[in-house]
Amino acid sequence: MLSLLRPGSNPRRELEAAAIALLLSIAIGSLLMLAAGVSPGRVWFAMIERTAGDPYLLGQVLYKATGLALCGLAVALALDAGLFNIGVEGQLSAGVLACAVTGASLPESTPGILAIPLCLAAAAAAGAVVGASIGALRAMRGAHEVITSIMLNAIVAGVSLWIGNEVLFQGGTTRGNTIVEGAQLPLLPMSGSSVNAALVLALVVVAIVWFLRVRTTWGRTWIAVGQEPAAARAVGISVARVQTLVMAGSGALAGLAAANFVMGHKHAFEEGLGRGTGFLGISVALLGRSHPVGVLLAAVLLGLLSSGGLAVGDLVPKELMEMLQGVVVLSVAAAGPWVARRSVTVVPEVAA
Amino acid sequence: MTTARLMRVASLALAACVLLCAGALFYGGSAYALERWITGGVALAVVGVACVVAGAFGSTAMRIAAVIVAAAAIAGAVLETATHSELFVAVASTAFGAQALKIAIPYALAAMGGAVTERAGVIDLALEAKLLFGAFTAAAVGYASGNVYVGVAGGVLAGMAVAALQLGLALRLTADQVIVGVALNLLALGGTRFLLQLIFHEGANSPPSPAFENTVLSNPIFWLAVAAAVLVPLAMLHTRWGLRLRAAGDRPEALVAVGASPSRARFAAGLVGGALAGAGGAQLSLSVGGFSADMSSGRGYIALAMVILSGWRPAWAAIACLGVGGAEALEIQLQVTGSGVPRELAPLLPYVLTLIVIIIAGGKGSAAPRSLGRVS
Repeated sequence: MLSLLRPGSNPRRELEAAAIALLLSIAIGSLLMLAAGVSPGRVWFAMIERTAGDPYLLGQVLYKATGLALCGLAVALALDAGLFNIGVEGQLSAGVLACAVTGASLPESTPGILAIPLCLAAAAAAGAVVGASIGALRAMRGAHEVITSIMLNAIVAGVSLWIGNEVLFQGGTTRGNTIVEGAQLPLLPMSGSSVNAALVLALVVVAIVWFLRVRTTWGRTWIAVGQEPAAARAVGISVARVQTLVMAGSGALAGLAAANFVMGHKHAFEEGLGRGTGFLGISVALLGRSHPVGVLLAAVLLGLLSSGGLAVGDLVPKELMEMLQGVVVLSVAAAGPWVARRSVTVVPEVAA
Repeated sequence: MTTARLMRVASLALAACVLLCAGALFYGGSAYALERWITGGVALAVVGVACVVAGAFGSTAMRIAAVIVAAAAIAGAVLETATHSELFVAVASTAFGAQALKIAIPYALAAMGGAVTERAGVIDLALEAKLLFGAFTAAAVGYASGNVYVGVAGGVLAGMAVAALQLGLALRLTADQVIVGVALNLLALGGTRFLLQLIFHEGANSPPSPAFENTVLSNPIFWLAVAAAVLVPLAMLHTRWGLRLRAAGDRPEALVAVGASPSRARFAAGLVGGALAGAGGAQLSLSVGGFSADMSSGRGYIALAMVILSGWRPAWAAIACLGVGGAEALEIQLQVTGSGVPRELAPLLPYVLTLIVIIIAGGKGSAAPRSLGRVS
């Protein structure tokens, strides 16, 4: 499964597949714009012109990209181990809740050096718990992670709304208590946009995952499990344990994205905070061919598409951008095998 | 401790957690707390025994039995606490049964569609997309034509169209089946909203379409589902279509040996599967007389879990879906009769139930079609 996204394959081919998928998505997007009765050229041009000419919008793109990079990385990490984690949405929600509750319950005078790691740890731990339970169900019961993920997404969303309504939300609003000052991440100076220090965190995390993946036995282990579970088992790797741990790690990355939304921007638990980022993270990971650097690039690109979509909201319905998410994933799924098949010399098939 | 035994203990623990949570919700703060916890404990013991039995005797029939017992235990614990309320009366009525049946229709059709597609060897994670596009098309065509039956036909065709796209990508282009499924679901979520905006200039709801009468027995899709539950298994056993479908799923090389194409058999199966799921989608929108965004809300995934639970047998899958319908009807009753269940948590019942089902039934099992997902 997921055989065409295996790491360690030819980077040129990966780049080619991503480029074809992107072009295909843009072409389909253009057709959709034509269907909506606007000139595609005008929309794409306006999207780039308006975003590039406005430092505030550029900042918003980076803010979106920060969350997307972490969520995309979470999906990519699981893909490496042969698992399709579409539960990132729920893991992120769990992280948002845990992060905001921790931040708000710390004493007022907690210094940043203590508050920030505590909040990050809480967010990562909450995401990891949700992720690990998906991994454990897969490893021990053979339960398909896609089904359990969707169930857990719904359950986490319902439970966090319930906790919000019962305990957290202040007087008729859908906003909880503000987190302590020490836990708030500084905004980066971009004309008042929401981009914040979590961007640095995301870059560091990308570097760490890249290092683990390429330079450590650990990384090779989880990639081996993704590529050839039977072979991995034969050399003494516990596939069940690796799958569970990788899903815990994947969930932790998704949970960390809460730093961008809670600690960097809203400074409190809010209903629906970060919603949709987890699902868009799937597109990011697939378009980035599940490579950390590719994920980073794809995050910026899809961040541009999704906030650029808002910038041209007067020209095309915003639903179009929503639909493009699915188109991107579909294009990658189609382009990968096509490129692979084209570049491999076809050997006559031996009857199975 | 072996992994299997560990899992039995773990599923026991999980069932315990669920029941404890349920108990805390129902009994929390009440004067009768202790007495009710004991009831919860008895229910828990029953669930535990069911889990152990299910783990020990791995046959599908046993697993289904275990799930039914577990569901009954949970429902019993809920009911016991509400004996003095209107809930008990409400649940024991035929109206409740009719409502459960009605809710089960889309699940059952999607599950039968999924069973057919998967038996041919294609992982069918696109059920959600088939339901959603089926629901939208049925509502739109019904609105345009003013006729429910034309709407149903539209829904069926939409399901088949999604299936054709899915199979084309998965079989012709050998794209990853899991990713294609999820991509189609994302596409359906955004795509139906886009079409809603494009055609009707509405954000969330389509204009009212014709609707079925409210009674289940006069609903044509209910009878379609009943017919499918009888005919599909027969066709899978006794027709060339069914034989080739099963061969494509279990032994594609045998099909190749007799000069038939596994891909063609999979297409033939998938289109029927898509038609069934599309009809399920039509029920979603035409039973309430209109489409609203994301109205499938995870039903496709739940249906697929039931397919796995049933051991990939369409009729059993449909029967398992009756359980889901019952759970959802119970949840609605809980909200109507004003029990202590928070309104945010009551809708989670089907999802929690599905998780428990997956934990008990597992995912692989010897019943899985041998070439499932290995199409290339």
